[in-house]
Formats: sequence, structure tokens, C-alpha cells
Amino acid sequence: MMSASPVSDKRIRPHIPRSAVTLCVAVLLAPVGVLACGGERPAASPRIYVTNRLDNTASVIDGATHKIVATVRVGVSPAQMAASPDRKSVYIANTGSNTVSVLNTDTDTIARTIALPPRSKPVDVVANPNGRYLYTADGGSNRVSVIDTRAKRVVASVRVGTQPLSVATAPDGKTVYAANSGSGDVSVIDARTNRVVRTIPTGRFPSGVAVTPDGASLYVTNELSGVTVINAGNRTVAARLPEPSPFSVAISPNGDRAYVTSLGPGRVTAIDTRTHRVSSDVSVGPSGTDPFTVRATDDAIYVANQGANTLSIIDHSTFKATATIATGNSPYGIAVVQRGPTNR
Amino acid sequence: MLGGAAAAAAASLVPAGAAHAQGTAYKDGYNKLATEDGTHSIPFYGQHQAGIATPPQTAAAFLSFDVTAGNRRELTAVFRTLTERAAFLTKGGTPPPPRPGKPREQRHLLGATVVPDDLTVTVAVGASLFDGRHGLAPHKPAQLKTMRAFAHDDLDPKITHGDLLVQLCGNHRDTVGNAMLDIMRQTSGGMRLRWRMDAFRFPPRPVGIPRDWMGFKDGIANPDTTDASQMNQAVWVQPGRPEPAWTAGGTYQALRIIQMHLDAWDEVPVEQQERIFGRRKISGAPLYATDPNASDELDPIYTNDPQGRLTPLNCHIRLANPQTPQTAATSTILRRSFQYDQSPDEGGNPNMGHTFCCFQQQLNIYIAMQTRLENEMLASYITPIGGGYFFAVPGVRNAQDYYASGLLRELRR
Repeated sequence: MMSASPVSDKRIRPHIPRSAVTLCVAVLLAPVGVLACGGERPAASPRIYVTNRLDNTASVIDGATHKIVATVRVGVSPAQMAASPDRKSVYIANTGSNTVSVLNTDTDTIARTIALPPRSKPVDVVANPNGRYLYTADGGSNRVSVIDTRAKRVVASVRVGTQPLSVATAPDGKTVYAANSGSGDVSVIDARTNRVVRTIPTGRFPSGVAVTPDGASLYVTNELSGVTVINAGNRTVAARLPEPSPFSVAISPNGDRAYVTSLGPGRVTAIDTRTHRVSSDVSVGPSGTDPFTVRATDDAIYVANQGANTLSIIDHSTFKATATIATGNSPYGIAVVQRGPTNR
Repeated sequence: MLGGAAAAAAASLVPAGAAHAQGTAYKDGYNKLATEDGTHSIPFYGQHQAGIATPPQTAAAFLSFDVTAGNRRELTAVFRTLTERAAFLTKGGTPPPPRPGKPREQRHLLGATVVPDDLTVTVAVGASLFDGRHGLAPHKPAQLKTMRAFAHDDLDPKITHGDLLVQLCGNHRDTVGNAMLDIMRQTSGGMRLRWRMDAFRFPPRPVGIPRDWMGFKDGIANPDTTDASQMNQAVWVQPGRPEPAWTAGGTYQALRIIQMHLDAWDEVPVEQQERIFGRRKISGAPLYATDPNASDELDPIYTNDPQGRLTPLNCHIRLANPQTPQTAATSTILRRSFQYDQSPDEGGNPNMGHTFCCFQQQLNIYIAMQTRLENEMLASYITPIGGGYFFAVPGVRNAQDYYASGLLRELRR
């Protein structure tokens, strides 16, 4: 599953029939006041959360209108974020203040702040599939912190490689992967024992890691040496792609594609996960746009452009940008929370 | 007749000149529209002085003066004369009849007529002008002060500070030299040259921002000089307290003469040089760009590198702008620097280096940035030896206006 968008996992996310969504939209467009649609929530449009690293805020964007509906003050230098599987929380790694903010998605306010050890400098955070644990990539301390979401505190700390920047969990939740940019490898953590059981060399400066929904493959972006595809079963390199300055990776919810952002040329590349070949690419702007983070849900692909201070929304099927939304200063992390009915 | 033809030629280029001054992004870092015959000119009158947002010309001279004018009237005469000479020299043409009591221009360094050659004359005042002499003290720009030595500075009083800084930039050495001689001669009654630094800018090799003596592309990170809102935010002083009203439209200028220890530098392997600067040497791109043809316009990004494993925490560009919320307010300046080359110093070492020049809305931003740079790895290979802090006065609005007129009017009240 995806490194920071567990809500997009089909096995977790309840299926909403396409026709129901269409109906809801149609109802909303009708000149009628408040209409509940498919549950207590008024709409089925996603909420998009984006951290603004230089503003110390998170923007809350309505996925239907593309308007910023709230700006929430978070910690210092907020980086990546993750939604809880029950969609009630968004977790934000605050690199500058060594904390994880817990944002309540009902009220769009910070419900709690969880402290990490000093100098942790957490860059990434991911929730495991059942939502019980969070894993943070502590780029400052070469560790992955394990946070119990019920106890709301750090319960374990795993020594990994140098300067971990990205974490992902396997779909079964039994394995956690950390990409270590400084040591050029991926640590494989056994989630039951919280120990590193294997270290896989991947390339120069790995900055992003994502797992396919079947758990069979890891995609790793090595900022200085391209994309590495790893067979998760025997933990060997299955393919290497010479993408320039690849920075972030996300897998489509159906597992067909891996989406990679490239810093230099300012583009997003789609890689066919069966052939390991580039199937298409799309430019999100001129050099200096800095597409930093990519996340994919059933609805769309979301890209935070740190240099341009925008969020691009890309259509899965046409692989074209359908919207560009102005964010705050230096957008970094993305979490998408599908609103509407939930059976949890 | 020739003068008329030259003036007509210059006039016909005015639209291009306007595009040149305003439409060319500073990012090019190089004055691409320079013409060999020198007929191209940069508009003199305006809200802001030229020579700041103007793409850097290839030849420059920084002239620091001590003002000898004893009172307000004499000081006003100095600024009026400076204005009159600058207006003429930057437009070019046949030398006008001499002012009463002033010598006729008969140098003919540029031939029968003066060619503008994209000359800009940029006048800035130092903190020492605001002492008791003229009664200017209450009207000093709020942040203007005398430059104090930073940790690794070895300031030579012979090339440091001054009451008045005149920055001359043009496409060729002769037009800059002619302007210098002209201004010195015409203002000799009211100010005296304290020191001078000749400087130049290299052409791009092969493209993009020019390199410095160390072989690195320098001055890449700049606000967009064609974007008025960026310039109003980062460079031009805006009306309102605590700045005195007369300063609006001006900007703080920091000049730093930095000797480079090139013998030691040449011993450093390129990979380490790149880590010291935080950029690739050949391309000028950030360290994540491995392609030698990568653009030098790519943004450096450190947000995913908290330990500085890729871009060291104490490299030049990361300390200048660490890209953290805490430093965001003290990381934007407009760099407009040149190189210099002088006789060897007393130790027989090459005295070659960087004439660092920058403009910013708040001098304190430069000081905060330079204070961060006291810890940079590059400090072992450079020694700042001179320069000073100045305030570039607002632009001369029209033929009736003159440099610092707003300041001098304050004295009449």
C-alpha cells in the first residue's frame, strides 16, 4: 500500500459505487440547501490536506471546489502527513519541533501533539493498516519511532540506516520499510518485534519508498541514481529506471502504476508496474516547480509543488493535470481523506 | 551632426532599452543586449535608480567618496552636479556647454560624442554622511550603520566605508572610466575620492550565470527583478515608519570586497568544492542534479535532508538560505556582484576576488545572513578585506529632480 495515504487502500476504504458519487454530486449541484448524502456527512468529496513547510500550517482543501476551507497552525516545519484508516485523523510530522500533530478531520483542529525525542527531525509518518501504530522516519536521529495511537506516545524506537526520509508499511502490516538517504538503503523492520531484519542497498540518496497493494514490490526513488524496484519476497533488486532526480513515489490504488516525481524537470512519471517501463509522463511546470510529494487515491493523483506553491491534481486515466491549486508557502506533505459514508 | 546621429540611434533603441531594463530577468545574470557601438542606453529617470534591477553590465567601478562640502548648500550642489553628470553620461550625446565655473569636457575618451553604452550611475550614502556636519543625523535611514567586521573579516581601512558610494556600470571599461573621470572632475569641489574598486563580470561559460574566480556560478538565488511585487517586498524601501519618508524607493546596499585564496582553493578536490558551495561546479545546479547540463535555475531543496547528507548544513548556499521557517524572513537579497583582480598583496599572494554587492529592503537581513555565513566551510578560502554599508537613494524622477532631493529638502524645514 501507499506510504502515506492508507485511506486509498481498497481493502480499508469502503467501496462507494461510482453511481452513488455521481448522484451525490448531482444532488449537491441542485439548488437545494442542506442535503445529507449517504450518511451523516453532507458530501462525498475528498478533503485534501497539505502542509506548508515555511508557514507552519496545513491547508485544508475541498476536493470538489478546490477552495481552501481552513488553514490550521501545526508544528514547526511540517513535512509529510498520513491519514488514519478510519479517516478521523491526519497525522503530521513536524521536522522542526520534533513532534507529530494529530489533526481531527471532523473539526479540522489539532487534537493532540505527540512528542518525539529531541533531534529526531521526523520527515515522514505512516499509519499501519489497522491504525493502531504510526511509524515516523526520524531523519535527524537515524531512527524510526513507533507511536501507539491509543496510548498516544512513542512505544518503541528502531535504529535504522542513516537519515531515513520515508517509511511505508506492507498491506498486511507485518513489515515496515524505511528508506535511508544517507546510507543508500532500505531497512526492513519486523513490525511484531520492531527490529531491523534486513537492509537492502538501493542506490544513491533514497528519498521515497512505496509498497504495491499486493505487497510484492517496493518502489524506491533514489534522488541521485534513479528508481529501484525491489522484489519484497526475496528482497532483491528487480529493476532500475534511470529517472533524473526522482524524489517521491506513490502507487495507484489498483497497483497498476507507480507515480514518481522528478525534481529537476518538474514532471510526474507513470511507471507500469508489470513491465517496469515508463508508460507516460506529465509536466507540472517549468524547472523550479519542484514537484515534491506525490500521493494517489482512487479519485486522482496529487502532487505538492514546493517551488511553485501549488498542488497539482492529475487524472489517472488521461494522466493530465486537471487542476492547480494555490497552497501556502512551500507545500510538502499530502493526505487525502475521502469524506462521506463509513462503515467503521 | 555626429552627436545628433548618435542620439537618434539611441532614441530609436528606446523600446528595446525599456524591454532590456524591465523585461529581462536578472536570472540571465548577463547583459545580453549590449551593443558593440555603445549606442544602447538605460533610462536614467524613474522611481528607482538604475543599476540595481538592471541586469549586470560587464564593467563596473565602485567609487567611495569623502564629502568635503561644508554645509547644506554645498552638499545640495554636489548632488545636483552628480545628477546632471549622470543624466548626461547615461544618455550620451555631445557634451553640453560647461556650467559656470566648471571646466569644459575635452577628454574625447569616447570620441567626439559620449556614447551611453548602457551606463548606469547609482548613488548611495554611507552612515558617516549623517554625522553632525550637515545636520542630517535625524534623517538617517533607520538601519544604516557603519559596517562592523564579521568573524573572518580583515578589513583594510583604505578600502572600507565612505560618505558616498558611486557605482558605475557599463558595457565597456572606457565608458565606465570616462564617467569616473568626468564625475570626479566635476564634483571635485565637494567630494574627494577615498577609494575605488574596479570590477568586472565574466561572460557565461558556457551558459547561464557567469562564474567567479573559483569557477563556480555565483549569485544564482535572486528575486525576479522583473516582478514588481517581489522587488517591493525584498528590495525597495516602502513608505512608512520606521524609515524616514525620503527613503521610499531606495534600497540598502552592502558592498564586500572579498579576497579569494585561489592557491589553496585549487588544492581542494572538485567534489569537496561542490560540498563547500552546495552546488555542482560545472552546471551550477543543486547537488541533487547529476547531469552536467542541468539548469542552474533548479531550486536547491534541503527539506528532505535534515542532516545535510546531500547538501551539507554548513555549505555556502544552505547557510545563506537554510529554507527553514525561522530563517525565511532573513534569506532574500538581490545579489549583483562582480569580480576584481589587483596587484598581489604584501605576501605575494594573488589579490583576486569577488566584489560582492547586494541590495535589500532591510540591511539587517544582509547582516543576519552574513552572520550565519560566519560558520561556512568556504570561510577558510576567502577573506573579506573591504567594502561598506550604504543606502542607495530613490531614483531621480525628472529633469527638475536630483539625487537625495527628499533628504536635502528635510534640512530646509
